[in-house]
Amino acid sequence: MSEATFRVSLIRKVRKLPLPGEVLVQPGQRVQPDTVVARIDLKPGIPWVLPVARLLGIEPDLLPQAMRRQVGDRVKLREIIAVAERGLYGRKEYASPTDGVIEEISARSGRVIIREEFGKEEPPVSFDVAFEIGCKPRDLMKNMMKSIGHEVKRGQVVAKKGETQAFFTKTALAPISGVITEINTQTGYVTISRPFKEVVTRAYLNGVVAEILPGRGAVVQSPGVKLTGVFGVGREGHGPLKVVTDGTLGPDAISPEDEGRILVAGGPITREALRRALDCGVRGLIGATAAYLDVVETLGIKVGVGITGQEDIPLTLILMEGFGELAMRETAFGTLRSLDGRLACINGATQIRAGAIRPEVIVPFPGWEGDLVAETTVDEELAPGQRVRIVNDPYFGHIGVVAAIPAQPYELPTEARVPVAEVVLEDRTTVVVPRANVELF
Amino acid sequence: MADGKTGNWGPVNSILATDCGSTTTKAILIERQSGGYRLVARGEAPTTVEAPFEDVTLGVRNAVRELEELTGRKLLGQQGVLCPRSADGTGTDLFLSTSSAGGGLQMMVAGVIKTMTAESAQRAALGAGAIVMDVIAIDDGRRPHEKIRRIRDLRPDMILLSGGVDGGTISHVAQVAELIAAAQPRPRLGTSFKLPVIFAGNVKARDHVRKVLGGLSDLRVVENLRPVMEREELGPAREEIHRLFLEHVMAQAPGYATLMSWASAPIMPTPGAVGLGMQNVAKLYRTSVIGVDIGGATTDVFSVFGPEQELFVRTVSANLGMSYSISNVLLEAGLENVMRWLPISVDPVDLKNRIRNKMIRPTTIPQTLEELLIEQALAREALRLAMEHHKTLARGLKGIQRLRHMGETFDQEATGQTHIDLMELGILVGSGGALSHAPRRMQAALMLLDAFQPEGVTRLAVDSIFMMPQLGVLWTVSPEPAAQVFERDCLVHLGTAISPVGNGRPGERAFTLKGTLPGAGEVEEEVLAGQLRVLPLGVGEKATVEVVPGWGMDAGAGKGRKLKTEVHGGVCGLILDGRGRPLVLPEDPVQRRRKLVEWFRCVDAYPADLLTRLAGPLPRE
Repeated sequence: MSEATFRVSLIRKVRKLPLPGEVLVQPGQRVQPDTVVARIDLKPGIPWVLPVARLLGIEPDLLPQAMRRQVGDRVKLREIIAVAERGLYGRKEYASPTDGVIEEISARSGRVIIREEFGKEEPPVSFDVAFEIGCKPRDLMKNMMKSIGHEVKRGQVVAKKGETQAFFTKTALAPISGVITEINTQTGYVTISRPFKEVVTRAYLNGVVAEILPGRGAVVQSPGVKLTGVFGVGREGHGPLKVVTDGTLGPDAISPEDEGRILVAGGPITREALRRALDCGVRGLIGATAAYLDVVETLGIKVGVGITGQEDIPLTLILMEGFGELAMRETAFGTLRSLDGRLACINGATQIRAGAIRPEVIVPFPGWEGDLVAETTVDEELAPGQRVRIVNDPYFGHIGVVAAIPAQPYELPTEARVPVAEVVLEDRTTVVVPRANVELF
Repeated sequence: MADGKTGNWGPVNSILATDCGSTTTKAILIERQSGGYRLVARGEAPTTVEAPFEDVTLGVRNAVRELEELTGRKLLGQQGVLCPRSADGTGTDLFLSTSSAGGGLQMMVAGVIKTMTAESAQRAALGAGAIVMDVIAIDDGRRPHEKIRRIRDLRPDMILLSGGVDGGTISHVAQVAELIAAAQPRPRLGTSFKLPVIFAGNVKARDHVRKVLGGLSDLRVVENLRPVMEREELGPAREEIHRLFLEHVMAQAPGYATLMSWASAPIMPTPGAVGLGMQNVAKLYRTSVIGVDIGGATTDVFSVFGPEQELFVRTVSANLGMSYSISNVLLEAGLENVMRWLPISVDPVDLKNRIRNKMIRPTTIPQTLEELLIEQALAREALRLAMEHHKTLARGLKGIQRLRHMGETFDQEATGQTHIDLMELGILVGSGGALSHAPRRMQAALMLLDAFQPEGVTRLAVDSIFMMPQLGVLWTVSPEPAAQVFERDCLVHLGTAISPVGNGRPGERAFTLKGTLPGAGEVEEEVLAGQLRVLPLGVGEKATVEVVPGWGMDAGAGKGRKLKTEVHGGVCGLILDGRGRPLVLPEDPVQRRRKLVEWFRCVDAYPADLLTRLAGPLPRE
């Protein structure tokens, strides 16, 4: 491996929980990418907002007197929590529809809020909805009131048959609160899972814990090589780096043996290669470019304004040059080639705004004892002699060398007067392009 | 005042103002000269809110240093901007700043009824310069637990809660307050302090809201923004939003505490300052105004209407813009709608790739005419969509009782109609790169005309270098220099457009213009339906003209009625738009392109030979 083609710098990553939690590592501890750095014991419960006063038929301001349980009390399912003595009209009771803790009793709105307690980690519950509403399993979808991913509460109608004749309407109620995770049109069963979510933050790199952020996480550091791309999708991940081709990546270059690996291509990634990578369980793909439609259609994602990287896809894709058909910058590809076989940590998170967040490839060298270079954060200024690539029409994708940087603005065919650069292209023609449309290559 | 300074600055001879945007910090220097206040120089530098700098004042220093180099004046000292000016002439008399860095001000608003108090609260937040992340209302169609989850997930900078008229029932607003309390919301920046909540609802509910939210949040109580159904009082809520923006959001952002100590007046959110600028344009010219600022990520639309220019509305289209959000423009407008403004034929796949490239390389600029045409086609659609969004919020109050006259018996008009009347519109002001930096000003004029389709007689203008935010904040402390610089250096008047409503048949007369123009003398121009022409009328020139509309056409005085009006000149002149309103483009692609080429050539919007070559042969039928 030639080490002259890459520069090792000290990489520090802040690994932080979104909310305060428990830190599980010690300063100086060696960590692997999967080591859990911090965890939240947060089990968010669904709040039930219950119009108790209305259901009891009393004025809201009488609610506190009617309550048999007070704020902070733990109540059980079907436990009587409020009783209204209504004289001649008799007595009316209200039973809790859920297990939980009373969080609020409002004499103004006449409502009670009970926060259901999670953390019991109940197994998912499947129940025969088709039978309950009396339909064929294959007709289940058209009778469902909720679809996969919807949050439902205990007792909420999840499916209904018979819209017009209310008397004959049959309904299926959710037996537990949770999220609908499966609707099976073969068996007619619907599965509801508890939205039990453990929030953890992992080390992401293999390195050393440099600093503890009390209650929030830690700073993990390691000498390593870092490259940034232009656009990415998919979450943090890691795997051995394998350079597959220096040109276009087709499906034939990917095999089932590549499961868990991070594959590198020096040219564009085709639609078929993307699909094949998904099929083979490839952990990451690093390429020069891809067609936008191929990316969104194959991976089934939506790219809008904001941050990518939270997509629920098994593969992280990093495009070093963006969309279209371009080759990867020689420096970047050379670096990746020299790192072939090493463990790489990648993150597709991209914020298409002011270059705030760009996807990254980090190859840690935990035992590195050589010199460390500072991470460069400031862009180099354009100067004659530099190799550049033109990133806008009419010379999109062309590579050349800067011949001159005229001091005076130049009038473009659009008649706009802008600062320009004179670039000698590879076929020795000299072209004038706006400085904004070239990037160092 | 940010640091307790009062409004007594003594004579103001020089003013330094900065705007810390999300990408660049822009500084302008205004000085009093013999003829009044003028813009002397402008500097800009990258904003330094994010890592590795994390101190906004660095960017401000760099931008001001550029001003120092350009003017040879000393404005900066060790401690920051030298203000007030010292005896030896160094420093400046006033230093002001606006900011939209760090994502601007992000708010959540809540009210009882979606189209009533919640909508009023939304208007108050937008008017104060905020991005409204969500609107929570009792009747928004979500179940309580869904709302609670949403509130918890959003993490806004602050929440504005409204609901109920003064003295009315309090149970509903109490419900909304309890929902917020149940969510235990946390602020976006900083975790140590409590989330600010502004309550601007029923006065009778204040005690209850204090009880529910007082301990959980930093609760501020202001006057009800809808004291009675028929009236909105957004002022107090807006002021409180500005105050909280300074105290909380700004104080959390890196470097702002120092910047606030430098400034002579409170730092304002940029869109809030632009809004003030637009309101002052309306006051200055005593007419209704629509302003638009098309940025890279967002497009803001401002409108000032009403007999006293009292109806001010601002909306943010958070995902319509010319670089970061450009893909979204294509998505929302549809390929067809973008392509209809192109006089050339473009491969749709190629067009899509170009647009994605602009998204990930936002700083690239069009080099060829083809690219420019595409960019301007997208700008037209972004502006049109932003205006549509604006109309949905710029409307009268819903749910109020209205006294109807006898004559209105059969009138089916509901309450809550938009108050944007394009016929009444006096000035249309454009701002932002796509409009301010269009190579020919006529291109900006056409983009405004095509996207907004103003009716009757409308003046058009663009902001020369986007200094509206700085002037907006200057207006709050020293209106005279603001007004002078605004008129002389900020606004570039493009001219006046005459565009009668109606669609005449091709070849029929759309209207006739009669009058004496300073440059051209006596004129009598007949404009046919589907024609676009321009007459010379320079900057500062004006003329009284008579517009005689064709059959079924209305120039502002009624169908077929003659209109006598004053028109103002500009760098483009007097634009005679006989294309009709609504503007309908030919269905057939070739005919449409032929028409576009004809219009562009008639007003000399693009280099003629290049345009003809690009468009290729376009047979008549």
